[in-house]
Amino acid sequence: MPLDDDDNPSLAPSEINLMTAAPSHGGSAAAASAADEQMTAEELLEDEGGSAAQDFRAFATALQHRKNQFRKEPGVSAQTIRRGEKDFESHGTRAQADALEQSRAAMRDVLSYVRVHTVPSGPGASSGKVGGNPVRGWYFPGWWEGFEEVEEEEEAVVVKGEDGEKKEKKPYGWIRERVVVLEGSSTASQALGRAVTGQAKDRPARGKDWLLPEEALYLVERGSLDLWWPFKPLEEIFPPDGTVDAQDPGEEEETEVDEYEFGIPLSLQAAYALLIGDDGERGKISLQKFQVYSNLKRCGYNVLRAPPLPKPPAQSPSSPASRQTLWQWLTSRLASPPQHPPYGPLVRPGLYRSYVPIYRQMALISRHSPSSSTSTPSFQIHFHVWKSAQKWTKLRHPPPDFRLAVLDAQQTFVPSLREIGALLDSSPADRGNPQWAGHPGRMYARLKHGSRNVLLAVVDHGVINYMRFAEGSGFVEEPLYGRFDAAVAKGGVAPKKGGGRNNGRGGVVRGGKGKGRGRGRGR
Amino acid sequence: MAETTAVREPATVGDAPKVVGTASSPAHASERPNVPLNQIYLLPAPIRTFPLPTFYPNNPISLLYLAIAWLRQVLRPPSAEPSVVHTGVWDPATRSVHVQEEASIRALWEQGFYGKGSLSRSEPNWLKRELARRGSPEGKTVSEARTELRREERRLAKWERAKAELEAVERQRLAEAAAASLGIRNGVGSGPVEPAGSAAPSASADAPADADADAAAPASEEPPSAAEAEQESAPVDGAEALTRAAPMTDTDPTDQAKPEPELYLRTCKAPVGPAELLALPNSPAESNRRALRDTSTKQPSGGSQRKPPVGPTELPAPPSSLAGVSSSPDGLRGVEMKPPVGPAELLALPNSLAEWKAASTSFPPESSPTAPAELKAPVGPMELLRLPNSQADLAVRTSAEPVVLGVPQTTPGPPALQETLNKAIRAVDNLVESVSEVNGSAADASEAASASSSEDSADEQPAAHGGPVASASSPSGDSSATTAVNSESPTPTKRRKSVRFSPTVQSTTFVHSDPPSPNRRLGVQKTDLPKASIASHVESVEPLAVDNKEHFQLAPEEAFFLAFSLGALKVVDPATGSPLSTERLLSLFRAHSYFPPRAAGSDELRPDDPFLVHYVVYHHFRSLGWVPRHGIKFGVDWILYQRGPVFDHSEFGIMVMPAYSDAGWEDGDHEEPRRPWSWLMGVNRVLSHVLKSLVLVYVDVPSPKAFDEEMKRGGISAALKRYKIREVMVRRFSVNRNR
Repeated sequence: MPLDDDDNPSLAPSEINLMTAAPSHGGSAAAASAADEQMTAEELLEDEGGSAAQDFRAFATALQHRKNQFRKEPGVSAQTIRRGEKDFESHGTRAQADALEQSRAAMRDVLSYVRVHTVPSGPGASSGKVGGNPVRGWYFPGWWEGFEEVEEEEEAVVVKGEDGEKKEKKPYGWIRERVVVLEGSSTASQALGRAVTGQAKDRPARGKDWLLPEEALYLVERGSLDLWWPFKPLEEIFPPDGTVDAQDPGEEEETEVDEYEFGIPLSLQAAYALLIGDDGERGKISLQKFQVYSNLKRCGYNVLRAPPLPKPPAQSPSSPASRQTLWQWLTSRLASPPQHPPYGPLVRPGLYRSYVPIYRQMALISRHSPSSSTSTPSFQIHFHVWKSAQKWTKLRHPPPDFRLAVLDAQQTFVPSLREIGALLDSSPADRGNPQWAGHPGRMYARLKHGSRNVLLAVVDHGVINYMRFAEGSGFVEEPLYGRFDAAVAKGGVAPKKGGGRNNGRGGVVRGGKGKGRGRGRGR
Repeated sequence: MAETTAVREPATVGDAPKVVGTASSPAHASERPNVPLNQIYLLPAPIRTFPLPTFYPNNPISLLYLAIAWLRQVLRPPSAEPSVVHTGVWDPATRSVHVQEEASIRALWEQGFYGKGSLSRSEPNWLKRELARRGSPEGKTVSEARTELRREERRLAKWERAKAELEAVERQRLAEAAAASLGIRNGVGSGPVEPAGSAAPSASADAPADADADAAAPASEEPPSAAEAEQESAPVDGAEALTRAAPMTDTDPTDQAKPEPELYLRTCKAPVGPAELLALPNSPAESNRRALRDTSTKQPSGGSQRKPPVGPTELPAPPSSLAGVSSSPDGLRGVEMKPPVGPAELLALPNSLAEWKAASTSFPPESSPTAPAELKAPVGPMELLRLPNSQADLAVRTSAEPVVLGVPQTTPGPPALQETLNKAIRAVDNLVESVSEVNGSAADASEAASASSSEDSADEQPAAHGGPVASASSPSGDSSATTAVNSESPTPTKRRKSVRFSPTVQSTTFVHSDPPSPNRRLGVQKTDLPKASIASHVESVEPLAVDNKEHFQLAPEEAFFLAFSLGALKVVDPATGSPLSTERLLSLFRAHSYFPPRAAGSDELRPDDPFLVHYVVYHHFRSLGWVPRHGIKFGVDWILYQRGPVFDHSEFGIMVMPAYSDAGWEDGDHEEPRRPWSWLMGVNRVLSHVLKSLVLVYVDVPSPKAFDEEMKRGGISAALKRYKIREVMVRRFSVNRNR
């Protein structure tokens, strides 16, 4: 279910057992692929989304279960762990003490679980092709400094990519920002890196994958990449094509003998120092953005940098007036525009047969339509985010599921109209589920989904909070007063329909149990 | 087909007064039984519509209806809408427009104007509640009464649950103790590891248990060892207190005497657990008394256990008159001369002579307690739970007591214990349903109880004047309290309230539905206080002709919308009584949206006045058919209903965000509100807890220049057109749930 908040108060554990409580773990089991499977256990331990404490007993049994099953089970599912009553204090029974002790023992078992650092299988999360040693990447910050990337074509791809266009165009590559070159072939990674095409044959390191700083740092943190600091220039490490045959195997042998002639491996700290920087710096990424990037990657999303300053889509802003039919236009011409008295009642006294003209006369305030001259560099979309899907590669993918801007909670504020307007205008229209359209029961869903949306990742000292801002144009587009006439016509006859005084308040059901901290939703 | 149109015709077209019963005779509309809500809350605005009946080509009769309706409207046209113009009085002090007429209040409420005031109430029904409070049967339909009832149910359910949990724990303890007794039968000190203090949960911290070391000592120090588990009642248990409180018919002194040596064994150990530390004597007097008590328990006395006197007349008496105590060894078990240290005891102390008198005279002398007062101070969890939480509880308790009393002391084993418990519980359950009273405090009830008991003990047992006593919060079984609760009467809860920190101490009962400033009500109630202190004999003699004192405070936005957009409200100047023009009203509202109010019509009023910005939002949503209401209850500016709180929950909370994107503002000295992210997160968190979603409504404010031009040209109608609104829906995005 999209757009589901995870703070459903009815789901929140009112009383959490100090022993039996589960991390609310979303759909980890569902999303577990072969590569993710080994993470499931650790994820359960490290999951920070759940507000509850961990149930080590349930976890330990799951662990045992998995050992016995030779990994046929996809991991610990959320159903196996259940929440219970919380004991707030010891009441001196042996049963309680035993349970506590048992839980502690289970926790010790879990913590003593041997985590094997398997040899990483390559930089791509889903690629199993390159086995053996971690891939080596060389840090060449200046190589693409002067590279000019053509932006015009990239726009075409973002817009038309899904239409099955024959002529494949690659998305914007951010070539200038790429600072780490990978050894190995470009097929090594399906999700990360980019090989720069269109290079001359004699260019060194032709066809090699180049990584953006966040990609490199993410791989280093993950243990899939050895970042090396070169002593020699790029031409010597990756000689041009002519000498490849002679040199490449030679290099392999050399590594046995004197690997460090070409460079030295870098520590994680060094990688951070090299790749994390301020916002404007070329070849670096700000810490907040990297945190968001790695968080999303770890959660299984596919993330790419958004192309720079995407031009607002050329479609006209959808206003209700523009979508009137000809007949409506004619009738609106015929009906004289309401002349509002300066201070007098907007609704002229008289006899009305319907509420629609009454409310039409009251309409004074129009919706804010953005001016085109908005240029706000402070708020812009930084990442395009895709849900984890099978058919996604770094070069071929549908339009992004989410567009995300990264903000620092300490230095920015809740966006002003101009800022949020610019952000929303830069994202395309997204009306949500088409089945909602026109369905009266889905009005709230339509309203909440909005006509276009953008995600904001607010990073406060490393704590990331994702907010979804959506254009709420639905209020104007489907006004409520259209229903009033029917309601009035029905009101005299129809018996009480759908609206009890205690409707949904949960008086009897909830109060009877006397449980739960929620008291409904107020009024 | 003909029937449907025929039915529809009178409902919609027909006589206007019938349809608009809400507007013309609103008071009756809601009082008529079984009027559907749809009909009561029919109108979305104070304007009626007169739709013509539909014409069905295949049904010629419908044409007839149409013609009749049309002819009737032509020949006798209904008055131009809005036909009803309500009258309100502008009140600068509360920044609202007061509506006094009952019909107007009712109509406005039903049409979606909720005003200021208590946001949680479901309708303006003060009169009904007041009538109900005075015993009229109409009060049963008041939703507040239902809410009260529901809360009481919930409270009782919680109480039951806690009791069940405690019983489960207790059963477990008993089982374990029994199991342990098989293994270690002779070891005294080598009981289970669990500390004795664990028996007294933290609830005893604020209860009088800390002061009552005597009771706590035997209760909490009894280890679950073999001898005790078999002979005496189980270690700390509520039932123990019950059975002990029952008159001990001195059947076998051995039962009482047997635990003693063990008790000494236990007490000789160094006090390490919390309960032991609590059980240590706090003063020499206390330790004296403990020794005394230990000797006196060897000969358990009969049922004449009395409450020690607590009245202020005894207060000056020396606190530990040991001689006096020892002179009457019969009642010795009952005498506890503890200084009051616990909060409950302190609360239970009478504050003054006046208060004591008020309390004691409230009980007729005939109603002196016949049941023996319980003596044991509550320390265990069960005892604490059994403390009377309210008068209702007290009543329940006392009536349940005979059951307990019937159980002889000589059957202390676990099965018998359970039986006792079950009986008591059953009795409680039976009574609990008929009880609708809530929330009296334990201190209050016991205060009265102990005061009354002191009255009769004062003349019977003068030697026992021992000073203030720790038994204040003990569940005293005064039968006078039993008569107190008349559960059938619809009177809402009476609360006892004593005013302290004043030379003349007043004590009175008050009711929640009373107005917050009880001007003269205090005096009235005080006079009949002796008669009706706890009891519900307040079935007042005065006739049920109550004048409705309720008025309605329309918020400025609502009032201006009614006056400006619909022309359905006439606002009157409070000083002169002359109606205010809309223009004047606007400047008043704008000026008073600041604090302190700025001079109306001065240059300090700007297009981003709080009133104007909020009115733009109100008008925007109202003109789209939504029903906005002040949302301070939910931490937002407005909440949006689709129809109104009667029909549905509001789905949206609105935060108004003024914006200054107009070019005319660039040079100006406006400040755009810079809200931190924590603000937004907090608002969103609160709203999502009540299952509403947050809408940031940006209001683009025109520049002062443009605004003034428009005001000159076309008045506020033209100026309002320069405001632009953009709604942005905000919600948290959960990474874990969207992949």
